[in-house]
Amino acid sequence: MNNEYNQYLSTFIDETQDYMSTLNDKMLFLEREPSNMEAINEIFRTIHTLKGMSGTMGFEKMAQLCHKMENVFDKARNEELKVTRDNMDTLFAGVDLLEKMTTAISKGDSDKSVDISQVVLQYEKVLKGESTSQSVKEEPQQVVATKAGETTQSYAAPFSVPDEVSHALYEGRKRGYNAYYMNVKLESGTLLKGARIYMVFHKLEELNSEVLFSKPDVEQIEDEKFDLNVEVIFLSRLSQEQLVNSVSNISEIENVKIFLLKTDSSDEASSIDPNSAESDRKVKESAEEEIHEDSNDTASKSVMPGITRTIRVDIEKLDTLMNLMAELVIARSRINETLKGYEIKQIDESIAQLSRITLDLQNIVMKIRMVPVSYVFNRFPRMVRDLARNSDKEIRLVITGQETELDRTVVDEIGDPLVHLLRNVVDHAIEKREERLKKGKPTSGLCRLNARHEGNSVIIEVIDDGQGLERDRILAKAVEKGLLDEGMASTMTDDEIFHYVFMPGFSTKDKVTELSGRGVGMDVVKTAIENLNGSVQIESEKDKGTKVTIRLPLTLAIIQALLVNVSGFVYAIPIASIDSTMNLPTSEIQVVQSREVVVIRGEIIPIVWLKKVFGLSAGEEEKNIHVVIVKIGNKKYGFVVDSLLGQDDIVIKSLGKLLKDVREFSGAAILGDGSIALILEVANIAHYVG
Amino acid sequence: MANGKVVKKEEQIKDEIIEILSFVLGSQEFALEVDYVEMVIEKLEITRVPNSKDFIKGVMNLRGRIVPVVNLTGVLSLETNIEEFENVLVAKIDDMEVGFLVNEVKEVVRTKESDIDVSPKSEQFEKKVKGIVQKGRRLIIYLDMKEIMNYCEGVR
Repeated sequence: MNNEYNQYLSTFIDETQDYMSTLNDKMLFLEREPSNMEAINEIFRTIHTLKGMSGTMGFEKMAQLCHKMENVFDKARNEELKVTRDNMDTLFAGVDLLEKMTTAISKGDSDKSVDISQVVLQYEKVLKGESTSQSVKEEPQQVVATKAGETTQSYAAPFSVPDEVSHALYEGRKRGYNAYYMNVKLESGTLLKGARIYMVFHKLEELNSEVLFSKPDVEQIEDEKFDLNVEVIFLSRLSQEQLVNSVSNISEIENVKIFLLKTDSSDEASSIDPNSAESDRKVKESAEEEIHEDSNDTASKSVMPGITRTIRVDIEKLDTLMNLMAELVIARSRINETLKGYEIKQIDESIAQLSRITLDLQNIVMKIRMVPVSYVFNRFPRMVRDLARNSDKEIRLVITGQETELDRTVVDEIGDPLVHLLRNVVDHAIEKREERLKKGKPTSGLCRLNARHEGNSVIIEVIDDGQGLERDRILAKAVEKGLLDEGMASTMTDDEIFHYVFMPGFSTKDKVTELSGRGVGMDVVKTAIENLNGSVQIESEKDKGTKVTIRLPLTLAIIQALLVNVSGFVYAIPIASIDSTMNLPTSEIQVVQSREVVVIRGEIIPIVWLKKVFGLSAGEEEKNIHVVIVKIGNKKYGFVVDSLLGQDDIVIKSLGKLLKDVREFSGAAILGDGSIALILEVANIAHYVG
Repeated sequence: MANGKVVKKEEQIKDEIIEILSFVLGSQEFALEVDYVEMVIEKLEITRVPNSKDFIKGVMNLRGRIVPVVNLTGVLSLETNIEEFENVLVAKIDDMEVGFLVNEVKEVVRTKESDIDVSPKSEQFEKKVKGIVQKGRRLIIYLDMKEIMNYCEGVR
């Protein structure tokens, strides 16, 4: 392992893992559509990138394996080789080996621990068996590069160079070196750009060449502060052709242009004189045009999604970070309190700055915890495909919005409920081919999985075009189970009826299959979602399909809450469950059927005195009451508090096992001054009035 | 039954020396294994949790963590009218932090397992007590923290 690349190692591992997942996906796709050129091209590109990355990092065995795989796909994309089930298996075996290597590398091992000889042999067979032309082909872009470098004319440098460089050039020429200008263009989407350019420099050094100047400079290259082009002026004794060949051997280089720097014997400095900037710029412009043409050309070809740079971090560390954040906020407040007694002007500004920094820190920590839902969605295409095949159905899964971000803890929890829902779609909702034909639907069922942000929530929808829920059967089942009597049934809305599906042990499917139909599922879904402070809703139309809408809070750890005062204690009410707040004269409270209610805009809203619920001292009766109207499903309740203290972001902490029997609170939060506010579990408190 | 078991266990580890931390609660001296003890702090502000069990005084903010505070006089049904406690003994039992209200923390007592008098078990303490440790004229009630936690976790 080359030590100088160690700093890139973690990036390399992360990105390799991402590429592995892309590779798996695309190969699966290719297996279904063996002649899909786009898939072949994408796989080729991915493997090519992997080859480049592993080569750069010095994992030669990995690069070697990639090279072999690349050869196979190169032939496939030139239509010299047909993708069949047999060679797919071989290729999958290669992917598995790559994964093994990545694991080995991430454990600090080397890629050499994995034996690739078997698979390489098989690749040779695949290559030979299908084609009689030469077994190993050169990479196509190297050919391009050589072509680009064929011109032997000399030019002036397309930019002005510092005096010391001009001088060095002059000195170099006297020693018998040629002065060259080189423009290296990396492939778009190249990772570890800095390392790649480093490879170029390293290569030049190996060839006894001397780099005098580069644009951008070395520091910028190290920081990857450049696009795809790097221009270099260097001295070498080698010919232009030799140089082009050796540099373009480095993978992930789109092309290399090298030409001799013009030597004006009469005036050495003229070609690189800063004063001749104007003509230089012209040359540069024309050079840039060329480059642009090139990049346009490749832009249309390469559709690799941009992979973001990441480090994987243990979620526990983030939790610790969050806790430390909370402590920091509290410590700051304490300092504030202490300083108040002294009135030191000079320190005010520092404290204000400290406050700003802690706030920024808190926001960043929150953002760090967010991951895209693709994190769970990724496994669904494969799952749905397998399930559909098992039940002999055709189902197309269309996913949108998988870049939508959610708190990591939420993302971890929604996997299982979504699996349940998708299984239901495959097993129950989508009909068999013949049945669909009879109904005039396309034979292939459609299942959509959408995710998007909506205010402070994330909405996930599972939509199918299957048979829909049967209102009557659900009703009959509900009556049979004694959940309602027939008289009530006629007055119920679809929404209310469909809600029975979420009851434990409620299933209308008579047949028990391997997948589902045991009456477990929907209630599990509902419980899981509600545990995340979310909600589920079903809309359905017979023979048209069903839509399940899941609404989740953006984050579990931090919520926005309204802080209220009840008998001198501070409580937090999650903003998500608040409809509105109002100040009413006490006289507006009416008693209907021994229940206290208020009528607001024609709506009858039951009143809950938090004081009474919490067993706190009543205090004097006020003329006016502060009411926080909360919404639970479609029902509203008015919580009476003493005063509203304001809105705040709070970090939810569990009350622990000893207090698990307390249903009125979902947790506690530590406020800025270090005191604790209990967080109301609104739904359970509303139960007090039934 | 319970007594029989304890005796049997004791025969196996007869000479093991254990360290217990003793503290004062009202007029009596109690103790728990030193290993459970995380820290002893001055009483912090305790936030009452409405509708919780009687012996849970509330929760406190211990360096950013929410820690429940238990009043042992309630757990052990001690007849005392002491309401003021100055200190909180923070213990960690099965990875759970709990604060216990105490009047005073005295000292670490070393005793042989065989010196613990297990016979006089009052109905009041039931399994919550492992036995009595005698140190000079002092009688220290040695608590079984696991049992106490089980009791505390039980439903109202």
